[in-house]
Parts: sequence; structure tokens; C-alpha cells
Amino acid sequence: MKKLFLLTGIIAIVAGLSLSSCKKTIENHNISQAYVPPVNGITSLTLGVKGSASPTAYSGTLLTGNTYTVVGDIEVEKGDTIVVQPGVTICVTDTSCIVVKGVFISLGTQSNPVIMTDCAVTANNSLTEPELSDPAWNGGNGWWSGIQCDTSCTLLVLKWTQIWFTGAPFHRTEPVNGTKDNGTSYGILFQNTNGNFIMEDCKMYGGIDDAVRVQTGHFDIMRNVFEKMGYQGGDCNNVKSGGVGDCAYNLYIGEATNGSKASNKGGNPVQCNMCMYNNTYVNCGWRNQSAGTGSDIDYEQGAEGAAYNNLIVNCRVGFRVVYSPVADTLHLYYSNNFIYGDSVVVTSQFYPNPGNITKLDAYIAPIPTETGYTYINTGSGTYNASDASALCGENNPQFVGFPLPENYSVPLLNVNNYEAPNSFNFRLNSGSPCVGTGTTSFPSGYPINACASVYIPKLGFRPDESAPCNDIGCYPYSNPAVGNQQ
Amino acid sequence: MKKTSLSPLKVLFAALSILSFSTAFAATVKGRIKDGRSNEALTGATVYLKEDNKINDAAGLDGSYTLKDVQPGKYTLVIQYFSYITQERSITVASAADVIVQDFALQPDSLMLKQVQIVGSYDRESDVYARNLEKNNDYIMNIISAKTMLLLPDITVGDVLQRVSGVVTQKSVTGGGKYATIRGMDKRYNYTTINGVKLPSPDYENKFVPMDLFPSAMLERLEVIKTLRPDMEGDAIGGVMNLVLKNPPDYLAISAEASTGYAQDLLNNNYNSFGSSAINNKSPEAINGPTYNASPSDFPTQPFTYNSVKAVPDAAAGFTFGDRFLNNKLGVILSAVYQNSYSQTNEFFLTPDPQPQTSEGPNTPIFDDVENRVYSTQQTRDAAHLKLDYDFSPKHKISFYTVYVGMTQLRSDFKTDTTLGTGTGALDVNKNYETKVSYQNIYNATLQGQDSLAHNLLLDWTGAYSRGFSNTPDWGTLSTTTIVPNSSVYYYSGWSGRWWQNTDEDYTGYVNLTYKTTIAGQDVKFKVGAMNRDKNRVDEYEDYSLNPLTTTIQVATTPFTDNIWTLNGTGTETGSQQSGNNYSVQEDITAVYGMVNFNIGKKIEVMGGLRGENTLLAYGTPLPVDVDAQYGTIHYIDYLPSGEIKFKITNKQAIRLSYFSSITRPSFEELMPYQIPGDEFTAIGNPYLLHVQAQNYDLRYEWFPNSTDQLLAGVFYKNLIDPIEYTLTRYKTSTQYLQPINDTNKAFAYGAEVVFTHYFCKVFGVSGNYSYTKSQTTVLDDYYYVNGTTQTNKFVDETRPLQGQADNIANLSLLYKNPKMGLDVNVSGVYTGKLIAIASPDYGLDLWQMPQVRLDLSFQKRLSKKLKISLFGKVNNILNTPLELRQYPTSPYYNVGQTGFLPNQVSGTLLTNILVEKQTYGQFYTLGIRYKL
Repeated sequence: MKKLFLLTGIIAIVAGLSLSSCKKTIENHNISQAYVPPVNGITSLTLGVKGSASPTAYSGTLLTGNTYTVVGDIEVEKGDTIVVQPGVTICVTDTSCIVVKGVFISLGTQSNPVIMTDCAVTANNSLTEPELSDPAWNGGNGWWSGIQCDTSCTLLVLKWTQIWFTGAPFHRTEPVNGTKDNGTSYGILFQNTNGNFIMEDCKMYGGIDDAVRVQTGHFDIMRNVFEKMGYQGGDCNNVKSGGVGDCAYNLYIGEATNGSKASNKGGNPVQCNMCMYNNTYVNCGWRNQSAGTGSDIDYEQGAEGAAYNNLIVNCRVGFRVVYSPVADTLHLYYSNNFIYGDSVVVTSQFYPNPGNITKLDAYIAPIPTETGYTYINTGSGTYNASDASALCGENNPQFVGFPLPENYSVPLLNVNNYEAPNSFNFRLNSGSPCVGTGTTSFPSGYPINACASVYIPKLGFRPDESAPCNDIGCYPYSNPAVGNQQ
Repeated sequence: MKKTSLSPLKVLFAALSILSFSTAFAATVKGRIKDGRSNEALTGATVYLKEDNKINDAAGLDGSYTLKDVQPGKYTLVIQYFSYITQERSITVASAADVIVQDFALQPDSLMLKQVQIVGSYDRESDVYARNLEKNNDYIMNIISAKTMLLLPDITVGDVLQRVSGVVTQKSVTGGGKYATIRGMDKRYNYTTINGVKLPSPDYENKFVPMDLFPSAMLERLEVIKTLRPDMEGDAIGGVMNLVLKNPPDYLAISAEASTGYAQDLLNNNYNSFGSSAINNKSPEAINGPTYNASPSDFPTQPFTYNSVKAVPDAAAGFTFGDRFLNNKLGVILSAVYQNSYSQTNEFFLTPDPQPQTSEGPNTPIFDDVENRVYSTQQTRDAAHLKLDYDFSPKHKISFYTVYVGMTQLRSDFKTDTTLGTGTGALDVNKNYETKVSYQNIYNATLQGQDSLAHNLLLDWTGAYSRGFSNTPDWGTLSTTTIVPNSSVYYYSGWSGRWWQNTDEDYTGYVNLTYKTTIAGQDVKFKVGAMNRDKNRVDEYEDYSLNPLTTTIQVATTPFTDNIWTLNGTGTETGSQQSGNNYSVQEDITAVYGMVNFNIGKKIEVMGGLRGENTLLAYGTPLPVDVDAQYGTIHYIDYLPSGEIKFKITNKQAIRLSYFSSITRPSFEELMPYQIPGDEFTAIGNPYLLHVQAQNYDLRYEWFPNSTDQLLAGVFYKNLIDPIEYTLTRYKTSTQYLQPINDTNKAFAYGAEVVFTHYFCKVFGVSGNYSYTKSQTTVLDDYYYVNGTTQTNKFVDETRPLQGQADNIANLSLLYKNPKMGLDVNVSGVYTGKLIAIASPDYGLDLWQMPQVRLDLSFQKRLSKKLKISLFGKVNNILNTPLELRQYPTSPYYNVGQTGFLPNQVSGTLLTNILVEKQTYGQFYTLGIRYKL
């Protein structure tokens, strides 16, 4: 009996101990927090500290007419704003970048644009310049590392702003969330689901990876010119899950891969929704020839959207809707696009093969029944060209200043330079088959106008989205005022 | 297939039963021979009639012998066994019908033992010793003795572990066991010790130790301890794997063995060797300094120059020497093992895309690539162990041991990669090559002493230095791709080299004080102690990538040389010095405990106590100051009570009731602010990750009917707080982060185990175990669905078993041992039930490992009794058991068309059972010679 008593006593003690240890141990984690640099006013024409391991923070206005030199990474802190006035030139040296955790507004005008560049570099527009020595890419190195918006950036406005020679690797780890240790930079990164990114009437020239990456957020990409973006890869406008907005009246010329691409990859609960209309794509996709990549318009994994009135000329593959992982084909609307190819290499890929399920009615030209295209269901819903050679040189869009077929004495992928001395002009002649063949009857909800609520009273700024029109391409013959102004 | 491969087993048994079957027309003399002190059966002791030594036998597994055909008359029975005093006994056989029973208890030959009188010094490598430990310890464990291991088909501890009850081993790419899941608790929940001293891991990401580093031939025994005592380190929730190294013997012992072998897959195929000698052990940054801009010439091309050759046969050798010197005060044992083997593994793998679609319903699975891989692997293990013990006096003893285990692995990997993720399917095929040279080793040196301070007060202390090291220099990948669909023209597309090195250094001290007294007529033992470990880990990581100068350099027409590559624009010219993968950690663990053992009457033994562990960790990284978590400290104190009550039903049967509280600390890597961006998600660490705490309950019934047989049956329950799981998080941006987090929900595991060993019919032994485990955890998983007309996703709770937990595990080992013929044959089979091999961060898309049956065989045949030489052989993986992982999505995969078509699947277009991975290893054959003095 005594033993039994002892035994129960012991069991009680053990049970008590075990219950008491059920209480969770308190852990003390003393983890360092990011150093927040003190904010400086903009009082000098030199910004940043050369060779500094951390960025220098600024808030204020870059005044019109001034040339500022950025010698080390600069940053706009959360809650702060930098405004760039018309005519400002920002020379970035030492592969630095501009980090935006607050608000950055660059407001140029048509006659007095803002210019951001590495001032030591000049473009080479020779049609015969080899890729390796073309300063647009600096042999794959890029020159400076772009505008990097963090998740806290609520607004990025770029109006009449020219951004040249981006794409250099970061010279320090993770300037903002989601960027790689060292590694190639995007020209512009935006990543706030509730933030707004407005890019209107701008020009970007030369870069290594994606020119514009909308990781998430509202966007308005209007009437810009993107030239020679991406070295051996990279999409020009690359929108991921959570990205919602329009991209219209842009001219894409000589991009490595796609002009505009939408993919719901990234796991944001807001579905990627991108409306692409009245864009012109010329000679894109030739620097990234992997079988699984697009060249102009691309809808991938779970993306929804609408695409109308786009003009595609001599791009490596045509309008692409990916089968696996499948785009949101139930909510993907497109027609009235126009496509042209000089050679059978191009025309046989009007419906990119393999792995896409672009419907035949993507294009008004070629019209399938007229041009010998037949519908071939290969089992996975892909479409093949049966007689692509008949399409070579057919349906010339009749540009004002760009000879078609192109001059093959230089490789097609080098014909990227429309600047002087080449002075190409992608406006339409009156007789162009692209005049009057577009549509303005978009499905309800398109265009999206995702940034319509943005208004900055102090600067009198509102986004200025151009409505669709009945001509195809970024230079409508009938209504030039809504089109690309560059 | 299975039927035919089982038939050799049947043949074997038929043969064995014929061998052991004979008819008797004369008298029979039989009995048992055992050790006079330990009652251990003396298997192998010889018995003969002095008058007619043709009538003889050797004692079997249970110590029994039988002399048949003895004609009536007077005889002298002679019993001989090495290191025992020979006995003779007169018997009289009256008639041919007589069955005379004569048992013997042999006494050790003290002369032979050089007058050493060591209490209880029966063979520590034997089963009997193991059973005794299992029976008499005050915690629950399973032991595999050296003698058992010698007969097992396994050569590494990683393989032996699968024979232990409740253990599932996770295989390496060569098919050998590498990590252990104990009682449903994954590898992170267990730790490894050598002679009770915890080992650091040579793994660059984890804390757990790869068990395939250790040749099993070095061990005296392998203990799997399943309940903790206050004097053991408290960070095991599943269990502790304690490797007890061979101890100095009581008399001169020399053994040596040499063997060779071959893999079936290499009989059929050539082995791909590569120019591994050109690899630089140090990265360009380590050689030239942090500001050096690497150029392609820093990266040798030879590692990607392959030679398809016939593999040379495997080679292995082992040597052990032990003796006592200086009037037996000094004991020495030295052993060394070398193993070199070649293997080939074929793998089929689908890369799951972590973002499912909604095309066939919520979380429709989707795959990025179909990969067919061929791994060619050369593994070289070298291990050495030295132990010295010195008895100053019976009251003061000191011992020193040092051990080194190392493994060098050379692996080439040919991958044919069909891209599905961009929708190009069978038309876009890449050929990728990977070469990996890795060096892993563990070194340990331990000094231990025992001092009797008074007749009832014992001090023992340990000082240990341990080091775990791993280096993977220039771990390289070379990718080539086609540009035009369906083309066979390949172009260079990428080259990368990665240097990853880590060093763990532990300085540990233990002090224990034991005081024995008598209270109220009962023996009581008090034990208190303290322990401190200073641990330093340094992890160095450099990652370089190279691009081809242009995307149109053809593989067929352009040799692979440095001058077609550039590092320009990759941002890796100076490596990745600033990455959070470079870190150093100092961990200081201090523990104190107190415990008491006492009896209540003769039937009840009680053990109980409390342990306190103080954990202080500080880390630093080269991250810039404007990034969170550049450095940090973590501190916590755990109080871990434990106890056991043992109720002895009889001398041979007992019931144990145990409780212990324990923890598991996150790996250092998991706590670091590292970021590894990938195409699908960015893998990141979590400096705020908490350690896991657990309450563990055990009830076990045990029966040791004799010195070798056992029957153990038990149940257990474990309750985990803050279990660590990997989950996709996106609290910062739409970029997905795969991150270790603590589940807010509790997890639990419970199960039942049965272990038995039985020897019968003199020559047969059977041992086996069965365990059933059920566990459950609830995690936040991503769920993609259509809400109205838009595709969206949310996090939902998913309840599933813990990763690595198999519901049913069974082992069966059959032993045939004929000492007279000097023949041992062992056939071992393992059944491992279904388990989650890879937990998906997406709801319902976990990868399940299919149930497996593995069968191995080994034999040993004495060639010469005089020369003490025997022949041994092993056949591993007789059934060529594959590793198969499957996914069971709730929304089917639509398997049609050329661009998303998954090969090797069941017929039909809507798949709800998808083969995601299959590895086959083939059979392995070993043949060798063994010498044992």
C-alpha cells in the first residue's frame, strides 16, 4: 500500500513536471534592423557617395535645366518624394541605381524631356555594328542599374523621360526586396500591388534583362519607344501576378524577346490582367532564340487580358498564347491584329509552334482562308502553318519610312536602329491595310485604366491614357493625336 | 518479376533444410554450451569425443550442440573454445536409444587473458551484451551489435539503420541509406553521437549528420535511443543514434578483410568519368582576393570532358588491431577502413511547378520539365579510429580516442531535359551536364576520465573536440539547348560554378558526479552534471555564372573551351561574397542536470530528473547594413524533465513507462537571412524561427526469455509545439518566398512497435520488427481556384502526416548459422510503407513515396580453420527496388498533346495519380576474404 502510494506520488510529480514544461519556452531574438540612412535635401549637383556600401537618401526636387551626377546608389525613403523637373539630365556613373521606397516623379515635356543615362556613353546606330561591341549592351555588362522600386513605393511617374543604357549588375546585395544578390538588374522594377506605375511618352534604349518589370501593381504604359532592350534575353514589358493595367501605342523595336508579356506567375491573389492595344512591334525576338520564348505579344500561365489593333512586323514568332502552363483562355480576348513577315522563317511562326494555342482569328491579316493557312489540330490544340511561303512579303503594312522587305545584306536581328542616320519612320501611308481595320469595340472592362485615380494637384498631373482607335499600330493615320508622339 | 527473384530464397531454404537434416540410428548426446559468467551462448564452441574425434559438432546460435551416431560405450566429452578453459566430462552411453543431455558452462581462460580480471568483460560486440544493455538501461533503446552487423548485408551505418525498429532511412542518389527518420520524426528531429559525444554535421545546409559516412565495421554496436534521460543532450524528439566504437579487447585481437564488388548497372553500362583533378579547391575569389574579376580561364573545362569507361571493380579493406600492454593497464585498439565503389543511378523526374493552375479545378498540378538523368557516382570512404585506455588504478581510469571518417564523392549527371513549362513539350529538349566533387569529413578527439573520489562517489569527465567539414569546389553545370523545335542541333546556353565550404568546430566538456547511498534500505543513486559546448560554424559560398559570347555557338562544331564564354553582365565576376549564404555562427550551449535512481521494493525501479539547457547563438553575415537581419543573437532556456518507471514482472519481463521533454533547434542555415532567387520562388531563411519543443510518452513491455532472444512491444505518443515546415510566404511583395516557419498548430505522432529475436533449431535465427506510426500536422498551403471569373489563390490549412513518416515499417531477417561448416547466411528484408517524401507548399500536391520492399543477402563461409580465413559475399538490392514518388491531385492533370504530355504514366487522359520521380539503382555484388585472430 505504501509502495502504491509512493508510485502514485511519483507519477503525479512526473505528470506535474510534464505539464509545467508544456508552457512554451520564451525565445529572445535580437536581430539587426536595416540601417535607414538620414535624408538629405538636394543641394548639390552630385548625388550619392562614390563606393559607398549603402545608399544615400534624398528628398526634394531636381531643378529644371540642371545636370546631376549620381556617383553612388541613391534612395527615396518611405514617405519621401523626389520630383524631377523638365530638362533635367541625370548622369549615373559607377553602375549605380536609384532606389525608390517612397515616391518618384519625373515630369519632362515633349520639348524638354528628362534624360537619365550614363553620360560617358553614346549610342551607335550603325546597322552593321556587332552585338558584342554595340554600346547598347556593353558586351552584356550594361552601364547603370536602373530605377528599383521597393514594395513600399506607392507611385512612380515617368513622363517624357528618356532612360538610356540600363541593365548593369547591382554592385551590392538586394537593393530592394526581390532582387538578386549581385545579378542583372531590370531597367525599371515596380512591385506594389496597390501602387501605381505610370510611364507615358518615354523612351528607353539599351539594357540587359527586362526593361520594365511590373512584379505587381497598377500600371499605365503609353506611347513609349523601347529600342534594343534585352541583350540575350529579357522581356521589354514583363508583367507578373498582381499586375493590372494597359500598355498601348508603344513602339517596340529590336527587343531581345517579347515586347509585352503577361503571366500570372508569382502567387499574388490578384490575377494578372493586361490590355495591349495599338502597339507596333518590329524585328523583335531575334536575340533570344530559345524554342520556348515569344517575340512580341505573349500571354502565359493564368494571365487574362485583351489584345487588339497591334501591328507585328518581322518578329521571330507571332502572337503567343501559351498552352502549358495555360493562360486564362476563358478570359483572354483578341482580334484585329496585323502581322507581316519577309521570309518563311517568320511567316511559318505566325502561330508560334510549338506549345501555343493562339486562335486563328488573332489576326485580320493574314486572313486564314485567303492565305493558305489551314487549321491543323495537332492534338494539343496548336495550329500549324501549312503553306507559309505564300505569306512572305504579303500584306505589307506600308510604313512611311521603313523598307519592306528589309535589307538582308545585314542580319535581320541587327536592324534595330531607327534613329539617325537611318531615320526610320513607322507611321502609316494612307493606303496601308492597317488603316481603318482596327476595332474600338473592346470587351467590357477594357481598356482597364488601372491608374485613373492618380491625381497630383500640386503638379497638376493626371495620367493620360489614349483610347483605342480604328487604325492598327502605334501611329494611327486617322487620328495621330492619340498615337505615339515620338 | 518478383516471383522469380524470390525463388533463389526458396532454393536456399531447401538446401539449408537438407543440410541440417540427418537420421540417427545410434545414441545422441546433446546440450548447450554457455559462458559461465554471462550465460551467453558460446556459438562456435567445438565439442568432440576424445575417443573418436570424427564425432564432433560446433555449438549453434543458441549454444546447442548435438553428437549423433554415438555407439554405446564410455566416452570423454571435450569442449573447447578460444580463450576459455577446455572442459572434459566422462559420459556413459548405455544403449543406442539413449539421448544424453550434457550442458556446459565454460570459464574464461584467465591465463590467456593475461590475468586481467575485468568485471563483466564478456564480448561487448555480441548480441548478448546488446540484449543486456537493452534490458538493464533506464531508457528505451534498440541495439544492433557488431556481430549482427558483421552478418548483415550492410556496409555503412546508414544502411544498418533501416534494420532498427521504427526507423526509415532516406536514400542518397546511390541508393544507400543516408538519413534516418525515427518514429515518424524526420532527420532534423534526431542527432548522432559517437560514444555519447555529439557530432557536428559536415552538411552545408543542415545540422543532421549523413550516416553513410560511417563504415559499420568500425562499430562495437549501434544504439538507437528513443527516450532521453536528464544526463543526455535534450535536442532529440525522434531519437539519438549513438555509434559505439570498438573498444580495446582483453586479449590480442587482429582482424582484416578485403573485398571487391560490382554494380549490376555498371555491368550493363559504361561509367562516365570526368576530369575531376583539374578542379580548383578554392574559388577565384579565395585565390585572388575579393576585388578580383574572374574570367572564363579561372574555370577549367576538364570537369565537363567525359570518358565513358568500364568501371574498375570496387575495392574495400579493413584492419583492426587490439591488445593490452603494460601489465594490462594500457589497452589499445586501432582500426582503419577504406571503401571505394562505383554506382550508376537512373532517374526519371518531373519538375512540379509550385504554382498550380485551375484549368481542371482547384490546384490542377503543372510541371515545368521532364528530366531523364543518369548519375555516375564514385564514393571513397576512409575511416580510422584509435582508442587508448589506461588504468592508473582501479579507482582512476583515463581513455583517449580519436576518430576520422571521410567521404569523397565524384558524381557526373547527364540530364535530358524536356521543357514543358514554356509549353514547348517534346519539341524543346535541352541537354545538361552536372559535375560535383564533394569532400565531407568528421574528426573527433575525446579524452575521458573516471575517478572514484570515495567508495560511493564517482566523478567522470569528458573533453572533446569535433570538427565537421565539407567542401564542394566548382560544383558545375553546363547547359546546352536547341533553338529550332525538333532540332538535334545544340547550342551552348549556360555554365556555372559554385564553391560551397563549411566548417563546424565544437569544443565540448562534460562533468558528471554520481553518488550512491542507501535510504530506507533501498539503493539510491544521485547524479548531477554539467556540459558546455562552444560551436563555431563558418559557411563560405561563391557562385559564378558564365554566358556564351553569343547564343548561336554550336556544340557539335565548337569545342568546349574558355574562349567562347564570358562573365560579363552576370554580376558574378567577383563571386557572391555579399550573399547571406556566407555566414558565421557561434552557438554556446550550457546544460546542467540532476537526476535520481531508486528502487521501490524489488519490483519497481524509478529514474527521474530535470535538465536545463541554455542556448545562446550569435551570427554574422557580410550583408550590407541597409538590409534587415545582417546580424543577430538568439537566446532561450529550456527546462526538460524526464523520468522512467520500470516495473519488473519477473526477472525476464518488465514494463517501462517513460516521459521526456525535448527540443529540436533549427539548422543554422534556416536562421540565416539568405536569399536564393529561383525562377519559381526565392528561397529565404528566417532569423525569427523558433526551436521545436516536444513532450514524449512511452510505454514498453519487454521480455528477454534467454540471453539472446527478445520480445519488445511498445506504444509512444509525441506532442510537438512550433514544428518547422516550409511554406510559401509573400508578406513583402508578389515574389513568392519559400521559407521555414513555425506552424502555429501543434503536431503529434503516435505509434506502436514490436521487436523480436528468436533462435531455434540450433542453426536458425529470426529477428524482425514491425512498427505502426501515425502523425499529423496542419500547415498553411497555397490553394489556387477560380472565384467567379478570376483566378485567385489563398492560404488554407492542410492536415497531413509529418514529412518522412511511414505508416507501416517491417523488418525480417533470417539467419542460418552452421558453426560446424563455418557457414553463415543472412537474408534481410525491409518493408517501408507509404510516406510523404517531399511536402509541397501547395494544397494536396505532396509527393508520396510508394511502399518499398528491399531484400539483401549476405553469407560467410570459413575457408580454413587453421588460417582463420573465411570468404564472405553480399548481394544488395536483390529485387532492384526502385524509389517511386507519386502525386495524387484532387483536380486531374490533362495528359494529352505533345507540349504537356507526361511520359511513363498510367493510361487515360485525366491523371489523378502521377509518377513524378523514379530512381533505380540496380543490384550490388560484393565478395571478400576475412581474417580474424
